[in-house]
Amino acid sequence: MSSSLLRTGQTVAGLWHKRCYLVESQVGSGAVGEVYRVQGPDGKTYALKISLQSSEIALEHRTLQRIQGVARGVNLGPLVYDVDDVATPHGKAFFYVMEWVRGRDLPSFLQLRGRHWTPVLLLQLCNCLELLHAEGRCFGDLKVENCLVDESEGRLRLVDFGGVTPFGRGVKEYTEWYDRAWWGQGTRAADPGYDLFALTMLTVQLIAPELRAQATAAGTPNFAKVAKHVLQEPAYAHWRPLLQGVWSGRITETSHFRQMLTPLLRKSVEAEKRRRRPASSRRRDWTDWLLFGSAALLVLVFCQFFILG
Amino acid sequence: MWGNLTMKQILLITDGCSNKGADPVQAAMFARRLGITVNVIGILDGGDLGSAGRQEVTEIAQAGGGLSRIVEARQLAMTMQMLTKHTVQMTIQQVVNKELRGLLGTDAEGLPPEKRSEVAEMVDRLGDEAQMRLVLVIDTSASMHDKLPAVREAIRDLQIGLQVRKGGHLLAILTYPGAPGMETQVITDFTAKPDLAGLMNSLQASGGTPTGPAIEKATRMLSQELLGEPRDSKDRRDEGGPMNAYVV
Repeated sequence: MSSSLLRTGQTVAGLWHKRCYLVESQVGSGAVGEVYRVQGPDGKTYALKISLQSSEIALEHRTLQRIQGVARGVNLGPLVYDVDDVATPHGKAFFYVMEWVRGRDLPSFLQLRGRHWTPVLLLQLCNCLELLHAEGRCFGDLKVENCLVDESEGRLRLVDFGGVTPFGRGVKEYTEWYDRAWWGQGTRAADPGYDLFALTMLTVQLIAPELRAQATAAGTPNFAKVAKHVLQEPAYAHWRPLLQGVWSGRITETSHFRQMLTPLLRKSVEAEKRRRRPASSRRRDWTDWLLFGSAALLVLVFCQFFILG
Repeated sequence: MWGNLTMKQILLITDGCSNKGADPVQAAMFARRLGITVNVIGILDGGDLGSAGRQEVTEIAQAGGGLSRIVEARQLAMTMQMLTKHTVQMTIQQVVNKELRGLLGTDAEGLPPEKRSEVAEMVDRLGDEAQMRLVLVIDTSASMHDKLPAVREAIRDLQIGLQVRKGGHLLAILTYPGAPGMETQVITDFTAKPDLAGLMNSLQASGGTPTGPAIEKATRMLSQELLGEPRDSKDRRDEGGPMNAYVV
């Protein structure tokens, strides 16, 4: 997969539905295909995923279509608009067109807005996972890179649904650091616990990013080392019951994880308040709190919905 | 009939060119005729396979009806999973396409994209349920020394992936060159859970690179496994009739 399938400035014309997309830039490439930012026939920006493997594109498109609209008022995955074929110099290629999800990546969002956002973002992630799990599917390739935060609403979105796998099957796409089986902590079968494990590794990474480099330097997984670090590092103090709960097998459901997060949310808000009082020279102002409040409210209202529904 | 679908694959992992014994391209072609797919991974890892090595990797896979990739050692695990799974799907897709052509006069790619996804889902499910017989053929000539830990990790990872499939699997590991005077060495015969300890001790400082004979040996192992007397094995599940009743 050395050369790209599409060029910037090129127009992609679908063979079946005859819709045209102007390629603006390539935004990524993975094991299965490449993702481009394109302009649709209506002048709006979309994301286009293209691959030479028709089955992968077809399966992913179908997954996204399935989960579209299952969540009341919440777009779980990117909305999909079109699926088609196109002729390229490498042969016939297959693509689907989805919503262009705008957002900032988690590490830079946390740096900009403050660490106290961590539990809020994780709560939102829990909500997404719970909806997906209710559909009998596991997200699979849950990682920092697959999350974006919409800055205007403080809302977290999942991108790249290539790893979504029905429960009971082998997880389709995964990344070592987040992979329960790689760490020897269970199977690679899709179940709610698989995503929860990935969620704990994501939490570990968000709180102390340097641990990942240390723990994987040897090339071979050593989970005891990660667990020990979490036990010793003061930054994890509040998080230990949650992380160890999942690792010891006490927490197996996303709803349980979410419940354990709620007190952390309060704690981190209090800690942030204390920290901010003496030094008010920070760039953050009341708009931060407004955004934070609205995001927290959104999460709580949503939880309510989910429990009642 | 789909329950008895058995996939036969050889996965060759090498970092150089063959220099001894039968022509590996001919050997792969022969395997293909017996319904065995040959995939090849060339490991770079700092060095280079050289243009002859690259060409051989591509040619063996082409002759064996499989795929080839040239990757760094750290990409090995993911590449092995991808090639194995993708060839299973390719094989099933070919059968499905034949049926589709008979029924509708077109293969899956001739269907509108919306309809195609239903076929893709079916192929995906069948691929997960099919029986797998896989021989890993691993180059253990001296230059592979630094790469063997990565190979072992990748095999461990492949096993994890195979274990969660619905269909049963049997995996054998063959290294080449074998002990002094031998072309190949069977590290583990067909089993669901191969012991990888032997692999690390199988490095051979001399003996050349008999890639062709290794492919021939793997082909014999696979055809014996499929045509010979069904041996007792608790790894074999739901195989009511003769296990080669429907072999693609």
